[in-house]
Amino acid sequence: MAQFSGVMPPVGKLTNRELLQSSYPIILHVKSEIGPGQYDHYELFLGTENNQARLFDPPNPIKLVNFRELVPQWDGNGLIISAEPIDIRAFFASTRKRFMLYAAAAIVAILVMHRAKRWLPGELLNTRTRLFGLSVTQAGGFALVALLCGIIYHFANDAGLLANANATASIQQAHAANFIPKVSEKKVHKLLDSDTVFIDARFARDYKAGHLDGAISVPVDANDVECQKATADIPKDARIVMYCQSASCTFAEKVAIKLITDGYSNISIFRGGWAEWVAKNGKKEDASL
Amino acid sequence: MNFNKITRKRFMPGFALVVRLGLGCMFLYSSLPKIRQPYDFLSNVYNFELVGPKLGLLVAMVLPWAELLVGICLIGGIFVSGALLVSIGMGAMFSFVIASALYRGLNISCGCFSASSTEQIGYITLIRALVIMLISAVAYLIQIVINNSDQRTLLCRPT
Repeated sequence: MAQFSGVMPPVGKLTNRELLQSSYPIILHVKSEIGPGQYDHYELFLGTENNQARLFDPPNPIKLVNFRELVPQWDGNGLIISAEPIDIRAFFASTRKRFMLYAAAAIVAILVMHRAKRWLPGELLNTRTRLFGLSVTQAGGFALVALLCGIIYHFANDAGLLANANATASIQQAHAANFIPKVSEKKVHKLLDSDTVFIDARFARDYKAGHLDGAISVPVDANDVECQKATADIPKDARIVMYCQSASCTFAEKVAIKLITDGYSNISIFRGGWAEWVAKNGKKEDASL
Repeated sequence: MNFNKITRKRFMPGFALVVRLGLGCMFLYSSLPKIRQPYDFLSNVYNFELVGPKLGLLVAMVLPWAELLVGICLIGGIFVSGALLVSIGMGAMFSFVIASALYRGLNISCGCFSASSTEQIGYITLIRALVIMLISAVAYLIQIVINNSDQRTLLCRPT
């Protein structure tokens, strides 16, 4: 009997507000690292102290975490723990009140807008304004209001993207590889005849087994010194195309980020990598081997 | 009353109402998790590899609110033609980004109805986005016809 053992089945997503008001310990479903990864970890919430969350992640000691920092790591799922039966209605009372308030405000706004339609000079809308023009104007209004709502919400709310610049920056950093331009196999064909530098990010043994004509090896496991030595002759503004084994391989992205940090500015990634090249062109040993 | 008049007076407003409520509920349902978990939605936007860091941030901030506003207006019956036009635009945009991601062979989460969901993009999500766009377009055309006939009624009404 789950309830008698003090375990409650999930009833909905929690927010920071519920955590702040909770008198129960809660197991939170979190990400082990901020970024694009999955929610793959659990931490125990033990209440608040100085408006910060007390989190326990064994074997580490209890830590205090700002609620703002918790938002990008927690998906809102939590398991409330209590030896006594939990009064879930009381737990969500303030959320329910807030929801009712928002719903009432939305209904009032809709009714006011309906009334406002009658006060507006109807003939002006119906006869002088073309219907398509009217809907385009309304659509522009939607975009403007959505922009204002988004900016105000994310600036004023604790969980907002603008209010929590560090968390936003860490997500952008985690997605740095997504911002690097990608090139297709056809484009690689054209670039092979140009001054473009090709860098093979696979392990050295894979590079030796076969690589693109003229490609330089900068293995993903190379340290900073080895990496700088391999790229010493490449000008910082040179066009560079990185590749690794296949589309699912992330070595090219890792080495590309390392090179961007070193000051290289014109880097692209051939996502299909060596596997796509061999599949479409066959394997050809490089003359420099 | 001929068939044309029946269609215009009964079927079209009924169809427009059903589409309005259906689309409105769908947009409300899809916007709330994105507003609640903006960081997951930001990650989803970046995963499509179509925008840079700043434009992606703007999309993650504005799109869920546009969905919410359109949802409320479609359900509440205010600014319906504008809301349907935005709905067509969003449907077209979703179709384009999903088709583009499928073409590039990206294996990523859709982020369509819940920012943290694991639903992957695929032909079903693409068809769904296309259906949203088409239904919105049909409802928009009907709305124009309804507005037009309202206008005629208003002009012909004896004073």
